[in-house]
Amino acid sequence: MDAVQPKLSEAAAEVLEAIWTLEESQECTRENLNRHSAAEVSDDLLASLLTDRLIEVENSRHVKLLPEGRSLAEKIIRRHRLAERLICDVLGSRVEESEAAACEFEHLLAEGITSSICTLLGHPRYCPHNKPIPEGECCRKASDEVKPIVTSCDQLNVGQTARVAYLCTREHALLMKLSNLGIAPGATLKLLQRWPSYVIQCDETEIAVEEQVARNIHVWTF
Amino acid sequence: MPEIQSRAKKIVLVGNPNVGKSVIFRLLTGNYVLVSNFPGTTVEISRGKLQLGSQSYEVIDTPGVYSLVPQSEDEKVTCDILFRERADLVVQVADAKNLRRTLLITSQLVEFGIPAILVLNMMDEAEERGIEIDTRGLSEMFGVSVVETVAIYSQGRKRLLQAIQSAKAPINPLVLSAAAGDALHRANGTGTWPAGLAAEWLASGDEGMIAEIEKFLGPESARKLRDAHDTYRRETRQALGREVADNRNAFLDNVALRLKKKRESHFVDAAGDKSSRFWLAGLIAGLVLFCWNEVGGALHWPTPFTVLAGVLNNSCAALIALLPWPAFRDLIHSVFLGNFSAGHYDYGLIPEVAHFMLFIVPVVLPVAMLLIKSRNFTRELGILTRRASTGIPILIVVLLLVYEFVGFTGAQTLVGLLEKVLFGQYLIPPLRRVMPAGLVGEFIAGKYGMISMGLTYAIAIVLPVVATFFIAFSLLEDSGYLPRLSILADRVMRAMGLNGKAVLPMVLGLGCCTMATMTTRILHSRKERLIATLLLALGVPCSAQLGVILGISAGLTGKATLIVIGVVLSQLVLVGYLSSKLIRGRVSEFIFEIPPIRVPQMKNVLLKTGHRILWYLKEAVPLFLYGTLALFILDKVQVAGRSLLEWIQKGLQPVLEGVLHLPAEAAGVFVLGFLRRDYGAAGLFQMSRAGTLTALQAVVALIVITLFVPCLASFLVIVKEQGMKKAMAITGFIIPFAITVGGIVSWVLRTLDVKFH
Repeated sequence: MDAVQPKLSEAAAEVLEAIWTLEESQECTRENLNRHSAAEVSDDLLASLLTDRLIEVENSRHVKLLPEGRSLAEKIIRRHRLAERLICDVLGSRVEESEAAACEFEHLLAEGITSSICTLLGHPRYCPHNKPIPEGECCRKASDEVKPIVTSCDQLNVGQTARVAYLCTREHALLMKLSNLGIAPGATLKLLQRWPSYVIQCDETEIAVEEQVARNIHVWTF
Repeated sequence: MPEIQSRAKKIVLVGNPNVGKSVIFRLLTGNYVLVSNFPGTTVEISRGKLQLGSQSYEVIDTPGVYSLVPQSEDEKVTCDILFRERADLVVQVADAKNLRRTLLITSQLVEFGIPAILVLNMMDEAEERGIEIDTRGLSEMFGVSVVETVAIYSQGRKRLLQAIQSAKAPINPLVLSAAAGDALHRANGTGTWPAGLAAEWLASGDEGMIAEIEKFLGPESARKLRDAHDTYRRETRQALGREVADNRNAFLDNVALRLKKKRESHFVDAAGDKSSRFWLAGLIAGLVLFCWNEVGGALHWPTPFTVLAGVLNNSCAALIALLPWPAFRDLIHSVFLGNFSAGHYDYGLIPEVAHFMLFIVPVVLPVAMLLIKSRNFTRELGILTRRASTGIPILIVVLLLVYEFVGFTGAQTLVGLLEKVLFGQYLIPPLRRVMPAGLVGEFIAGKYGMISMGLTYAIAIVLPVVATFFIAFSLLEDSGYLPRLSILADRVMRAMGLNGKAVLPMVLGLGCCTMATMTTRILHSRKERLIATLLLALGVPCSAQLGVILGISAGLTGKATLIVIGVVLSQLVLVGYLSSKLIRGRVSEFIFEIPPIRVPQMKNVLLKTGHRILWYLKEAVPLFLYGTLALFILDKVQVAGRSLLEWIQKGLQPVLEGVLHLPAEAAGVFVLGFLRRDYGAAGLFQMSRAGTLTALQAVVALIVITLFVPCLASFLVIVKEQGMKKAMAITGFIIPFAITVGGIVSWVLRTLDVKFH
């Protein structure tokens, strides 16, 4: 199915994205499309989208997505908003900063990576701006299996082994302390006990941590 | 011709906490330093000498670090040494089990360009866990000699000495990303200082850290580093140090993966195994029964033991009564029943059976089963002691055993022998006969005589107690049990504005408050250090005091002990809670590496106990004598028809008699208490033996003296660690507080008419 779809230029992708976003909130007309799109919306570009049957123009003013264009736009939006989530949650940037970076990011993501990221983030349903993230194949599958693959360390069962995905903290000192003990992204750890303190085995060391710290360690379960 | 003496070369030992740096130090220099299975034992540096051929070396032992980017005070000490001491050689001591963490420090160390040696210590434990390390690959990669040792058994000492003589400059194998590499190169062209490490410091930095960097690198290099940092940030919107750290981490993951292999280990966590549930439940029940028997017995409450033994006793007595021939009957009676009365028994078979059923079967059997199943005694014990369900009963059992050992063996039996028999019969009376009457005689053997009081207190009362406590404490320390308490206590400590880690200074405080106050450096925030210091000064009795307290209260009843301990503990929690609200600052996260349980080495335990006793004799005995001297003078100097001591007693009378309802003679005890808490406690001990104090008064006096100011030495350490202002504030709070609490307890006990017997 992917193969049939035409290869989209970056500019065309930006336009489709803009149309989708506008349709979510208001009408999409030629004028506010120009204002909203990151790339310049030339008449040639619109014309080529029209000939590819991705969009249509009603009353020579309202721009609408056709089914094929809609499914393309959905994927782009999904990539963009997942990228925002990734940048905010994992890299710890602020919401305002995430927007610009996500614009760059969305063009780099292949379909396979997108679903990995979606899985990593636990199939989020909303982006940091609180707009819905379109569901992907992985989300539909995941809603059948209850648990997300990435979870925080305090959610592990006792005796369960997992690999550290990321440490969710803005505090450099905490990050350093954990990684000095070997709890860093990529490391394998095992939860040994939860009460009265969490005990994590990492390498040959047993490390006791409080609940709040365990909650900040995000892991992939196997 | 005089031999040209070459300069002594400096060797600095660095490494993770609890990897055996101090053991290696002892191995190299022969100097005694405190060694424990306990992270943070070394908080100050020690120096020693080593002579190899014609070359002499100065060896410097440092506190353990997780990274050369310091996170706490004790880590700063180590970094300080590395930057300032201009070492000729760095010996990194490492736990062979944890290669990844070891190499983090190695990779930071090699940036200094100082010749280095990597000592992989505890190879026995690594082998037991099936870990193999490619030491040749490691040695080639970092350009350092790698020596495998088992330091506690002196294995590998020779190889280490050879390596010291042939150490070469290391290689820095870390390859940075192009941008970061360029930035560092611009700042540090000739590579004269550890640029990557310094960049990481800068990135981790608060304001204080920036000042530190300047101090270490000098203003010129620090400015270059900051320029490079700022340029890099402008160009990439990233912190340079963060980039270096990321590069380093990726590199280390890769290296650790390549150079370390692990075979499957045979260890089975028997307690976690479902088939062991039965034994685990049995163990918990057994431990609870044991505690009930011990505590209930002390309080004269019915316990499972007294009930069971009573029932068995009565039914057997009834059966035995049916037997013919009185002589035979008596024989059977004495063999089976012994002399059973009121919960106490005297070697009869029946009580032994009851004891067996209530202790051996529920406690010893499940433990044995679990340990056999796990095939690894110490690791299984490690698991049992850190879980709440088994750990808390085990803690109580451990406390009871220490109580029995120190409170009875030490404070009753040994003190009895020394004080009553040796001093009381063989030393003092003959001395008194020989001594001339008058001032000299009084000075030696009078009421406040140097021997009759000073030495009696120091040697006959406090020493046996301290010695037994030191033995018990050293055993616990080396077993690795104590750090496990921080896991159990984290949630409680949190209410007191501390975290689980603070258990370590608190427990060490039971050894000696002076040492423990220094150990508060392992805590991360200033708030925690201040609260821990306050609590140590307020209510954590040092071993000498604890022993005397246990001794006195064990001489009274279990109830007295429980009241004293209960009141002191509750005041600790109360003051901790209040100060956590009042003192500003934040509590750091609880992240704590748990050392493994190890079988204590008898040699180390004895050595350590011996050194501690020596330390006690050197530090405390002179103070005891000075204190006695002070009392003697106060007693002899007459002012306006009364001795100074009587004036003090009169002055303290409103407080002592009015508030605390204690006899006026107790004033002397409190004067001594200013000098050393245990000295005061020893005074109480004698008063209570002499019958001057009622049980109730003894309880009140014990509480007050426990909450009272710590000894002079620990006051000085508080001044050193926290400054004069805070030290005065702490003391100014503690004295009225102790008296108030004592007054309240006294009033409550009198009002409720509590009896002790």
